[in-house]
Amino acid sequence: MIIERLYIEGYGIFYNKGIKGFSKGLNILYGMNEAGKSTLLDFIRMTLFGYPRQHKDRRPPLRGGNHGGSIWLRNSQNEPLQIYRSGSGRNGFKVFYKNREHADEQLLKKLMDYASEDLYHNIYAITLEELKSVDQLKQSGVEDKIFSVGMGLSGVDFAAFEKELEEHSQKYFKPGGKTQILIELVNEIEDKQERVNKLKKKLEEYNRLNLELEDLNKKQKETDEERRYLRQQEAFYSSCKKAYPHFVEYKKAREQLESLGEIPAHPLQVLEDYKKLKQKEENLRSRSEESKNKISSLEKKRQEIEVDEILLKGADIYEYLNTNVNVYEKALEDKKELEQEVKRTETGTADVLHRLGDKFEKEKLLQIDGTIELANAGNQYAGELVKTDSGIERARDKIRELEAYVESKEEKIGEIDRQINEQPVKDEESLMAARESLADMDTRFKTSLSAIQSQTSGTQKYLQVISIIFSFIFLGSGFYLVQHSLAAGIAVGFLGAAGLAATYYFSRENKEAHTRDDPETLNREMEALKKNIEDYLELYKKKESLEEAKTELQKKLDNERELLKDLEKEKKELLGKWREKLESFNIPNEFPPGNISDLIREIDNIKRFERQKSNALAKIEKHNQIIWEFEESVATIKPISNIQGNLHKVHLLIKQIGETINKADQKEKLSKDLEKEKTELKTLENELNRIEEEKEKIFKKLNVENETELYRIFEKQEKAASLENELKTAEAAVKSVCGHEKFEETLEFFEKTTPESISVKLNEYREKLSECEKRYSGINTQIGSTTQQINDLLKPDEMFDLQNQIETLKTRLREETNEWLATKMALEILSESKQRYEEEKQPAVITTSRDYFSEITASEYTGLKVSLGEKHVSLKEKTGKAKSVGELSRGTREQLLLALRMGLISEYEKNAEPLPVVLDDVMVNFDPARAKNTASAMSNFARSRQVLIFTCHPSTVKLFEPYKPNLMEW
Amino acid sequence: MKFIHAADLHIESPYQGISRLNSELGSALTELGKKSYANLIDLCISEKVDFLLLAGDSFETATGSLGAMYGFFEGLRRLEQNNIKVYIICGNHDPLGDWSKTFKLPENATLFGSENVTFELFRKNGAPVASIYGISYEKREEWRPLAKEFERKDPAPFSIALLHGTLSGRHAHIPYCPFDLSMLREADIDYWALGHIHKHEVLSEANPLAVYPGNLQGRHFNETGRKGCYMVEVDEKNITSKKFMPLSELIFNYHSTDISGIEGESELFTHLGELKYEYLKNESECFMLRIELTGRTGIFEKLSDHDQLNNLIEEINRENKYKGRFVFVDKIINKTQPQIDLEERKRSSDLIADLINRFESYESDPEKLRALRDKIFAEIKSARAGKFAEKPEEDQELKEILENAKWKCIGGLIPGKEQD
Repeated sequence: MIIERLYIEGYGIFYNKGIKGFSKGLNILYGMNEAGKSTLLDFIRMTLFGYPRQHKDRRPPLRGGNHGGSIWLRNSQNEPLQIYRSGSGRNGFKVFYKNREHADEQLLKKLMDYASEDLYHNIYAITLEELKSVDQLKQSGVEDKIFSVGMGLSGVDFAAFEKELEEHSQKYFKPGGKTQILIELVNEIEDKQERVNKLKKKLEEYNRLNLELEDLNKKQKETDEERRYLRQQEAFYSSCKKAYPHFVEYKKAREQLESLGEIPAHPLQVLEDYKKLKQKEENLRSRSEESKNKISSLEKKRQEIEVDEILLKGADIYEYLNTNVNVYEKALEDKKELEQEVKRTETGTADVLHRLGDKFEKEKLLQIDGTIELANAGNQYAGELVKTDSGIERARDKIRELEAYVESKEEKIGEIDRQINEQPVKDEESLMAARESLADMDTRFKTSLSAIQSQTSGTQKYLQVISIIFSFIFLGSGFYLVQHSLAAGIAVGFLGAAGLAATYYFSRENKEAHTRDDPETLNREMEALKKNIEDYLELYKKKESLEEAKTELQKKLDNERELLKDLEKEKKELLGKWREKLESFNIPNEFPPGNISDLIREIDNIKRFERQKSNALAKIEKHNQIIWEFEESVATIKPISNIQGNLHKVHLLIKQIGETINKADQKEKLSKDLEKEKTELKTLENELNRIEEEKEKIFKKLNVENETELYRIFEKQEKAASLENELKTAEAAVKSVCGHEKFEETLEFFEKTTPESISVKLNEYREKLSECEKRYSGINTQIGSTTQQINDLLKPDEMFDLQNQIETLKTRLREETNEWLATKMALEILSESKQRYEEEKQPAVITTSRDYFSEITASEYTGLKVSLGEKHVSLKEKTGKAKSVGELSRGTREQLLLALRMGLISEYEKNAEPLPVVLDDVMVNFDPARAKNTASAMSNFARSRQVLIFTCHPSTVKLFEPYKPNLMEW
Repeated sequence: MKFIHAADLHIESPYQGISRLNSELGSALTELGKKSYANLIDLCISEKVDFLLLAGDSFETATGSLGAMYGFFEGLRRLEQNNIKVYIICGNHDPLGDWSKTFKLPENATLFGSENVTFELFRKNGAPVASIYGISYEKREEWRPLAKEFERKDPAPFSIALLHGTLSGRHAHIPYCPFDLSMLREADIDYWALGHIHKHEVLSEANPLAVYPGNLQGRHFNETGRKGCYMVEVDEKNITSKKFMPLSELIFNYHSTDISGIEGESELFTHLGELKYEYLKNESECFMLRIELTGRTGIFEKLSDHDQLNNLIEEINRENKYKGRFVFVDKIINKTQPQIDLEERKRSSDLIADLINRFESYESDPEKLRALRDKIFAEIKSARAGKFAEKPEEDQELKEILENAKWKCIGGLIPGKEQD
């Protein structure tokens, strides 16, 4: 296909731009920098193959217009077609072909033999940037680039891509590798499998342990039975051993019983009764003996005790005296203290009255109530009086101060008056006269000046000016002073005005009178007069000020005096009320309110002393009563003189009374005991007689003569009974061993055996039993241990979890293996394609490229070889010397790449629709000779296709001139 | 009379085909795997059934897991405490010969032998109300048509047969103990309690009623959907109800979604997140998902990249919490179409076109593709890394690998150009 013309509605910097006149063969598009070469190249590419999705890459119109445009072409069949494509919106594509409009992209693709956009970019568009990028590659990079170019993958680093795939596959598996993904997965699976295998052994172990447990249970049962049997035997022989002595006793008892013969049976009770009587008799005899002794002792003791009858009379009041002697002593002490207290209160009361003075009487003070009210009133009045006094004091001070100020002012005014009187100008009248005089002098001055002014007019004028200035100063001062003192202000203002008038007057008159007066003298006089006026005015002003101040002070002074009067009146009223208050309480009214607290305190003191005295006297009365009662009681028994001073005698008396009472009691008791003891003796003797009678009865009953015979009978009887008992016990013991039914049998057994043989058997069974118990215990321990092991096995484990993990790892392994397999397949098939390309396509490409390269280099290089296996590119110089790509200069490398692209295009178009080739100023780095050769080669190249060469270099244009290219300036 | 029919418990048989597993997910799957059996026992107790039928493959003897066996027996003991009988046959995964002699069945459980078909009478109030026939596998492989040996010879009004076998013509599973419906009819049994097929199905509605309850818990992505058991109620001779009772709390599922129009990874991520959220709304089940992406998208190349896809899956699962309900994305299957028109591209005469054509030649020639596979696989097979490596045998799988290879090449050699 060749482009015939194009029209851009809006695209990048282009707006409403048409370029026509393209032709087959060489087309040189010459334009300045920034003319829009790359924009135009992109327009062609995007119109042919479509706009990119990214907005920023679509080159939106910068100068307006609809985004897009049209290209008119003619294909290799010489058929025209027009492509319209819009840069915005999806419906902006049309192809006009064979007089019909089509919106089908497929048609265009088909017309272009399905050339893709990347193909176009990689093969047909050759830019300087691309060539430059080659310069930065190292040798192997250049070779890779050559290969990539050779395959039509100029924009992709094929070798790098292959390497990337290889590295990706090695991530999964590498022969001999130990850290790749697949091997790691295998290691992990094996590790977990091992753990699972260990856990699987649990089932075997469980089975084994269960069988073991069954076996142990069986053994336990057998051993238990054996144990029972041995226990039985051991128990039997043990019992035999215990029972054999009983057997011996049985036998012995039986023999002895037989030897006793027949014994009459008397109830044992009779013997018991006799013994009891015997015992009783002994007791009674013993007691009667004791009783006799006791009687004798009591009689002796009673005789020894002597009682004082007089002291005994005090027995009735002994308790009272004993209990109250301490109370009595206490009462005496307390009474002394109370009497002292009464004295103290009387002294205290006298002191208070002395402090208060004659005007206060005790009874009246005692009657005063409501002291709190009085205290509050006192505090209140005291406070107000303090305030009033303070105000009075302050007012007086103020009055004194103001009087001093007023006096000061008056003195100052007097002083000023005196000063004024000394002034020439001392009052209004003299002031007016001075002013008039001044005015007159001024006129005369001016007159005199005007005469001089004809000679010295400047001086006159100067003075006039000065005069005028002063006049205005006076005027201004007057305005200012008016605000403070009207008279002064007016006066000064008036002076100013007068000055002006005078200046004017004298300026007119002085001309005539200048010869009559001396200006200088006049001036001096005027100055003196002015000074007098000023002095007066100043003094007057001061005086006025002082008068004002004095008036103000006087006012204040009057006010203060008024205030003082009020305060004094108030004070008087307060004192009057206070006196009334005191009178209401019957208190002398001279008592100041500030001291009322003291008075109240003294009143309280007196009241308190009176109360204390009264209490003390009451207590003294009570104590006197106690004392009297006690002393009277003592006197009834034994009077004691000066009893209060001989308290020890009181205590002694009480003690003696107590002892006498005790003796009397003892003697009484002894008499009673004696009587009782005699009665007891009588009773015992009677009882002894009765017992004797009872004993006789028993002898008679048993037909014995005496006690000895009685005992003998019963001994015999007892012996027989004892033997009977032994027999029975032995029999019971034997029966407990063998059983009731086997008693006779056992006796026979015992008859035949000996204790020694029983012991032997017993020991034998004991040993066996002990051994058996040990075995049984051992089996139990084993059962416990085995059961525990089984329980441990049954605890939850990680078997299920591990198996899940293994399965997951296997799944992952499968997936990763597939990923590795896919990568390897990609490498394999890629290699096949590459190989085929290198074998079938590349030779033709290389041959054609070699020819173009030879032409460009003026046959300096005649050979171009590509080694498939090592991916190595070498060139042959015309001398036959081989050169590698790395040895080429930068420019030559670029030329090589250009030649390769031309070769590739030539090869490609053998089977596909040609497309416009675009070169963007690719020869700028070529030397002139090579550039010329390139132009020649390019022109040959362009014979059968359209080649668009963009350049901004006139030299490039010139290079192609011999070949008569289609030059298009735009 | 009410009974529950379950089969293929596969207690603590490992999950298969899961591509990624972290420790938390692993623990969750472990628990969920055990839960389905616990749910079965709980259901029997809560429904107060008369008995439970287990039609084989209760656990995997090959795993040798003591915990699995012990767990199974503990479940039987719980039923014993609640006076519920259990009738058990052995299947190919738990043949009778492999059962541990030391595990003693509780009194309520009957394990049928492997020599002959025998029966047990189930009585209520002293009277027989049902007879249960059964025969176990002695070994892992049982090819005999054992259904022919069943013959009714009891006085009970209702009869049940336990059989672990395959309906003839169904080749998705290993066809042990084949049978057909005529064999089932001839035996004059009212209810065939079948096992071996993991998908629940009613083979015959009546005369007889023949049911596969399926397994209790899916173990891989071929076992999608809800799993459970059947609960049957019988009124003397007549079946009054049969109901599928879902028991599994973990569901394997495929989900296909069209991502045409999605041009960026963030957008895709958001879309997948929303999809995941829809599954999370389910309040009682967890999900293992494989998401199939379809449509034409500009990120086809990125989706073809193994590492990028793995990263995407990791990101999607990153925030998962595995206590309680979760949705786990195991795999994303890229079935989208690229924006490059390969048909057009291959019409050119450059290397890329040649490459595309070359790939297509492999795709259309399975023999050639297998030869390529073998050539490459030989490298790994002799190495340690190939110890567990399995050569992909299925044509479909090989084609997918080839497709992956193709896009590696195309994606690498043609920089992404997105055209209007």
